[in-house]
Formats: sequence, structure tokens, C-alpha cells
Amino acid sequence: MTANFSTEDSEDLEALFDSIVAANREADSQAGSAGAEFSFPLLRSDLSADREQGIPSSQPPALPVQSSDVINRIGLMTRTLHDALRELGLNKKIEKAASSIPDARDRLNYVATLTQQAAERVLNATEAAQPLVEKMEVEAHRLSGQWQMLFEKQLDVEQFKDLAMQTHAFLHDMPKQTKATHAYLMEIMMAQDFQDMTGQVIKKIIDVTENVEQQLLALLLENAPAKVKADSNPGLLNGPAVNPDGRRAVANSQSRVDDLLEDLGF
Amino acid sequence: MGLQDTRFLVVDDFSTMRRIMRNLLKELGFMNVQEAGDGVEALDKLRAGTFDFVVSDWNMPNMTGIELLQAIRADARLKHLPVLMVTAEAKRENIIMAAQAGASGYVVKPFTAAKLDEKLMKIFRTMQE
Repeated sequence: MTANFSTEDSEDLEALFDSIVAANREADSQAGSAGAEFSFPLLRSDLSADREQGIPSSQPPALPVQSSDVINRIGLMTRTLHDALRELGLNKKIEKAASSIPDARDRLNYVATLTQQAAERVLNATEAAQPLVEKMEVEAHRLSGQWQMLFEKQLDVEQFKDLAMQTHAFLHDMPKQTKATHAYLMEIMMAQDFQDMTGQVIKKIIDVTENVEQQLLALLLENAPAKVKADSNPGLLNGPAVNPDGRRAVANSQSRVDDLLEDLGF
Repeated sequence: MGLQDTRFLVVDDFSTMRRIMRNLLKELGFMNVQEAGDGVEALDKLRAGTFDFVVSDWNMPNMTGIELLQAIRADARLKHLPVLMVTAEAKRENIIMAAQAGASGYVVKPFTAAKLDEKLMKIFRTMQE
């Protein structure tokens, strides 16, 4: 217990532990005389542990407490403290993982911005190209109708001359119009270049998400009942739940993660 | 062989970018374009076929663009090939690294057709000198 405790780096928690040990010693020395009252307001969970044991901690026991009871209670409190410490230690790792989330949020905002810009570029280009295409269509229809009238001998010489001029003007103008349309099509194509950059960003966010998942799993595993831990050890873990650098659990596939969560009752 | 017959290999892990590059090259009059999804595939294609020009992304799985560039420069049969890096890596150290590894040009994404044309023409001019 002491060895595990020493691995925790919070001085506040060490001080808390020391104060409880000191209080226990005092209580121990009083045990057998007036009956000891244990009161550790900082550790509420030890009260609930006492209730589970059927010992009302809010009032002194009616009979003098036997020394074995005291040892039992010290054991329970130490266990509670240890669990709390361990949870706090892992919380720090969770915090580290979670601190990467704002970065992921920025990245997602970047993706949102890029995709929005691309959508706007595409819509602008489309809206600009449509009137050009429509104008060409209308004009071609009109000239085609005039030529049809000519073939039906409904046009006189002056009208024919006029039609020839208009048709030439239309054909002359055509490459300019198609070139402009082509430029808008190129604009639409180039607007798709966001996909490369957003793709890279999304890959990074997936890494962050996986890391957070690993940290949460490590926390669950650390606090899992011994049986589940033992069951999950051979397949799921190469040794301890958290690897030596304490950053990453080694649960490595989705199905194993699913199995573990199921074992833990989630 | 005319400039328009230049045989390009476009290397990028995103198919969208490869298509954009293929279309841009077509726009600039280069019709002979093939594609590779990463450095490994590119090196295989370069060793198996005949190419005149490599346009490569930097950040790719399996073999990055800079590793591909180094491999090309280390290969007696390929080392003469012009390699244009087209990449989102806009940091100073990336550009220096690419230059030291023997890149022929460097275009930062996102880029325009005009920008690509300018870089290509610059490389072609250097090659003719």
C-alpha cells in the first residue's frame, strides 16, 4: 500500500494520507476506553464503506471497539484512499488526453471553414456559368428558327443578309463564351483541393479520439474488479493496463475493446 | 520530342488531388499523365516505365514524397528526372530539406493553375540550359 502510494505525485494527497494516519493512531490509543469516533470529513466514501459494514460512523459505537475492528476500519479507509488516489492519478492522464481536444476542435473548425469556402466557390462558379450557357442556348434557338424560316422561303434577301450577319456574330462570340464557362468549370475543380487538407486534418483528429478512448479504457481497467482484470489480461494486455510511460493502454482492437467494456458491465 | 509530349507521373495519396493535378496538366496542354498513390507505387512505376517528370505530394503513407525524392536521386537510372514537390508543408525547414534532397521545384498547396504553369516552365527552362 505504501509503495503504491509513493508512486502518486500529489503532495496534497500525501498530506491528507498522513493526517488520516495520525488521526488513526490517536483513535487507536483511545480505543478500549471511551470508544473511538472516527471522523474524516475529507473522505466521504469511507463513511459509506462503514455503512456497508454495518458500523454507524456518525455516532460512537455503543460498545468499546476491539482492536481488530480498528485494524479492519483502517484497512477499509486505506483502501478507499488508495482507490481515490489511483483514480486521481489516472484522471491526470485523462486530462492530458482531453487537453488535445481543444486542438481537435480547432482542427474541426478548420475543416468546417475549408469545406464551406469550397461549397461557396462551387456555387458562385455555377451561378456565374449558368447565365452564359443559357444565353448561348437561347441565341442558338433563335438563329436556328430564323434559318428554318429561310429554308421555308419565308425570308427576303435583306432578312437573309441580316441573319447571316447575326449568325457570324454569334459564332464569333462563341469561343469567348465557352472559354468563360470553361474557366468556371476549372474553378469548380480547383475548389475540390480542400479534400486533401481536410483529409489530413481528419486523420489527425481520429488519432486524438483513439488516444482519448485508450485513456478512458485504462481508467476503466484500473478500477475494474479483479476478476475482470484477470480475465482481460492475457489477450488484451501485455502486462499492466497502462504501459510504462503511462500514456496508452494496449487494448488494440475494436472487438477487444467491446469485449472489455462488456465485461465491465457497460 | 515536344514539351507537350512530356510523360508525367503524379504522386499523391488523395485521389481527388491526383485528379485535380491531372486536369490542371491537361489544361496546360500535357495529356500524358499517370498516377501513383504513394512513394512505393511511384518508384515501382518509375522503374518499370518511362517518365520525364515527377510531380509529388510530401505527406503520404508508406513512402513520403521526400523519401521518394531521395530514392530517385539515389537511382542511377532515375536521378536525372525533374521532381516538382506540390505540398501543404509550407514550413521553412521542409522547403530547405526538399531543396537539399534535390527537388526541382516546390509548390505550396493550395495553388492555382497559373502558379503550376509558372513552376513547370521554370523547370523546363532549367532543363534546356
